[in-house]
Amino acid sequence: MKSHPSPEQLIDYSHGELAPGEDAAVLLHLEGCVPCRARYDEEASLSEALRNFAHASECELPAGVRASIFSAVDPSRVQPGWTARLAAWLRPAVAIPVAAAVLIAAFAGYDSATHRSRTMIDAAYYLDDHAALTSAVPFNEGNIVPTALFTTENADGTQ
Amino acid sequence: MARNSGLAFFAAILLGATPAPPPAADLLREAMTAPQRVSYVGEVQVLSIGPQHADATIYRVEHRAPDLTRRWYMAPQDLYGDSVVSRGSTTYSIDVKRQRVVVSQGEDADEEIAARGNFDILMNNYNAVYAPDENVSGRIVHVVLLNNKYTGQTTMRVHIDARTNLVLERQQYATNGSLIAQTRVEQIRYTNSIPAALFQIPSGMQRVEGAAHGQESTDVEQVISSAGFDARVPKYLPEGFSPIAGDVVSIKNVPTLHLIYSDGIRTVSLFQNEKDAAVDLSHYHAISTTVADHPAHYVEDGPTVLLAWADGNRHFALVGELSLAELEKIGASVLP
Repeated sequence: MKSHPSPEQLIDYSHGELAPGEDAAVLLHLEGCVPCRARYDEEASLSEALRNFAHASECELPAGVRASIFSAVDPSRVQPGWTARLAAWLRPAVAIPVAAAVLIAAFAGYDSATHRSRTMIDAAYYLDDHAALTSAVPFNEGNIVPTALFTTENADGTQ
Repeated sequence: MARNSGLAFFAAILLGATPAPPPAADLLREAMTAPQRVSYVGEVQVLSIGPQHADATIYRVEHRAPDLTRRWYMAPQDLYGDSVVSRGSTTYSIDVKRQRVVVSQGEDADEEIAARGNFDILMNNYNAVYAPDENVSGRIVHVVLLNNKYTGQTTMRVHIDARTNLVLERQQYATNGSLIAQTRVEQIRYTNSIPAALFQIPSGMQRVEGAAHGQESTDVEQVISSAGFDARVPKYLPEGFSPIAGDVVSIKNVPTLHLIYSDGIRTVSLFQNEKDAAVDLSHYHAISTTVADHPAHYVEDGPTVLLAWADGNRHFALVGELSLAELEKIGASVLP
């Protein structure tokens, strides 16, 4: 990482929310950058203070409250029938996203079935090979310019 | 007869006249092997002319007989400073901009045998006749026309140095008579003092293997049977064309069969694989067409046309200096 991490990156870093590569880059930067380390320590101490305050403010519910909530919930009333469950599924708010997801999945499946990671062979290879094998034809020089001088691609298709 | 022509030869020398050239076919045969005997330096201009535009390549050439050659590219700009050194059957493409040397291995002995066989194919399909002598770079050249026996059209003009038998100029024509390729050697100087150091490969550059072109073989039936799949061959070829070579090569782990057909001058290659490996035409201006109702695309690279299409998982590419119509006809005959 050449530039200093942003305040948002430092906050995300302190909470372990960065992607592994970015996390490693910020860690490496902090080890060598005193100003950023100071900003991070400041951020970390602020987070710690907030966490301590929240912990100190937590209150246990009175012993009878939790029991009365559970007893108020009647299992026969919270288990709807199959028609009610179907109706719930058919609500537009649920049905439309589900239908969209099904369509996307179907299209993706069709697309991957028809275009599944197809290997592509550069046309330059064919032109080059044609020229190479025609060099035995009388008065044919074969490759005037080898394709190797025009491309960075190696023979095995790697760069 | 031989004694008479010998006497005529010496008489011509004594009289200071240019000796009568041998039969055109014999001169062509001599010209094919002249670089094995003649060392020279010069400048070569190559024109490749497509239907829409032409490409020019210019390079300096140093050739030390029998088999050391260096080409130093002067144009186009992208190639300026790059060079290709051929040492026997090995070719080194020296890419100065990328600081690398691409090494490609050929098969000299097989090529010689193939060249002899292909010369016979040439003579079966073309009549070699003389045109009036001309002057190229201040040198007298014999001009040989190669006329197609089936169409009567001149397909190639070869200008051969009267003293060294080296080809100094060559023009190739399409079936409609238009010029499609020209190679011309200028500023030629014959010399036997070209230092071997000129053909050294520079050190300090990354060396990479060039594209593998497979084990080229003139036993086409054997090549087809070694493809590893049920290969298809064209049922139609233009008059005079016959299979001359083939190879099977793995490109990106895809076994690809390459068959090449020729009439001695014009050539067409058929590539095929059955691994659903399509031809990537994204670097070219591809135009849509059809091959027997199958969607197809073609691109033009100078006079060379590449036609690509698929039949299920089987992908084909035809490459040749033939018209699109002829390639489409060949392609249609490849399909079952």
